[in-house]
Amino acid sequence: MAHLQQASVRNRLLSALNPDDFGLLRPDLEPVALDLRQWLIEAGEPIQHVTFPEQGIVSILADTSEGRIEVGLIGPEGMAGLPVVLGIERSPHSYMVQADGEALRITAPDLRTAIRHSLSLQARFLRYAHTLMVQIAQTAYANAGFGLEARLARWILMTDDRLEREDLPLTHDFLSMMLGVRRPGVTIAVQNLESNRLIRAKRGHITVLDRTGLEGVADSAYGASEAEYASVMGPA
Amino acid sequence: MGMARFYMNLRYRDRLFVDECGDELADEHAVLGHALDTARDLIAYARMNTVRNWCGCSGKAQAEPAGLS
Repeated sequence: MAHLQQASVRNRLLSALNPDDFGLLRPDLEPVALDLRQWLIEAGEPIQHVTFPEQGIVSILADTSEGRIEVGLIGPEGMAGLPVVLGIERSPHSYMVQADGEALRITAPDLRTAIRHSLSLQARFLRYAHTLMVQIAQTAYANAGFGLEARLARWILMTDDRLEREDLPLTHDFLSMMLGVRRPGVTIAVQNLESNRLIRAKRGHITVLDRTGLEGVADSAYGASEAEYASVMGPA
Repeated sequence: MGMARFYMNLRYRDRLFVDECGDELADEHAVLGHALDTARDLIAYARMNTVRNWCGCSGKAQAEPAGLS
C-alpha cells in the first residue's frame, strides 16, 4: 500500500516505527476490516497474516477441557501474530476479533523478510513481545490471586483502554468466555459493579461510569502491564 | 421437541442477582443438570467479594426473565 502515510496510521506499533522501518513494511500493508467473532489465527494452523489493529480488539484464546478462555488482549497498541516475529509458524492459541474495527495486515513471509532487513524493526517488535508477555503474566496473576469482580474490572479497563467508544460491546455470554466462568458468575459481578455505580450494563453493552472506582476494584490486577508498555514502548 | 428458555436468578442475603439472558434447555432434567453445573462452577471458580459464602446463596430457575416468584 504505497500511498499509506505513517502519520495517518493509528496502530501505535506502526506509527512509532522510524520512517525507514515503516517504509520497509508500507508496500505490503493491506487495510482490512475486523469483523466481530472473526478468527484471525486458528490454533495449530499456519499463521498467514500478521494483523495490526487500527480500531477494535483481538483476543488470544486458549482451548481448555472446560472451554475457551482468554489469555491475552490486543488492540491498536499491538499486533496479532507475534509468533511470526519469533520465528514460529503456528500458535497453540487462537486469535479472535472481540470488538470489530479496522486493521492493517501483512503476510507472514513479507514480515519475516522486512525483519531480516532491519535489526531496529526486529528490536521494536521484540520489545512489544516483552510487553505482551508481561500482560499474559499479569492475566495469570489476576486469575490466581483475585476474585471475579476484580478480574472483571481489570478486563473492562483493558477493553476501555483499547476502544475509542463509550459503549463497550460486551455480552454476559462473551464475558463468561473471557473470564473462564459460567454466565451466572458474570451476572453477579456485573450487577455488583453496576450497583456501585462503576459501570452501566445494557443490552450487551457496558459503559464505564467511574474509571477510578474500577481501578480500585481491580487493585493490583490492573496497571502493571500498562505501566510496562508505557515504559518500554513509550507513552500513548 | 422445542427448547424453552430458563432464567436462573441467584439470591445472596438481601441481594437478588437477576439472570437477564437465560439458557435454552430441553426439559426439567436439563434444568436440574444446568443448575448443578452452575453451582459447582461458581463454587470452584468464581471467588467473589460480593458472595463470600456460597452456602448462603440460593438459586431458582424459572421460565420468566426477572424476579423470584
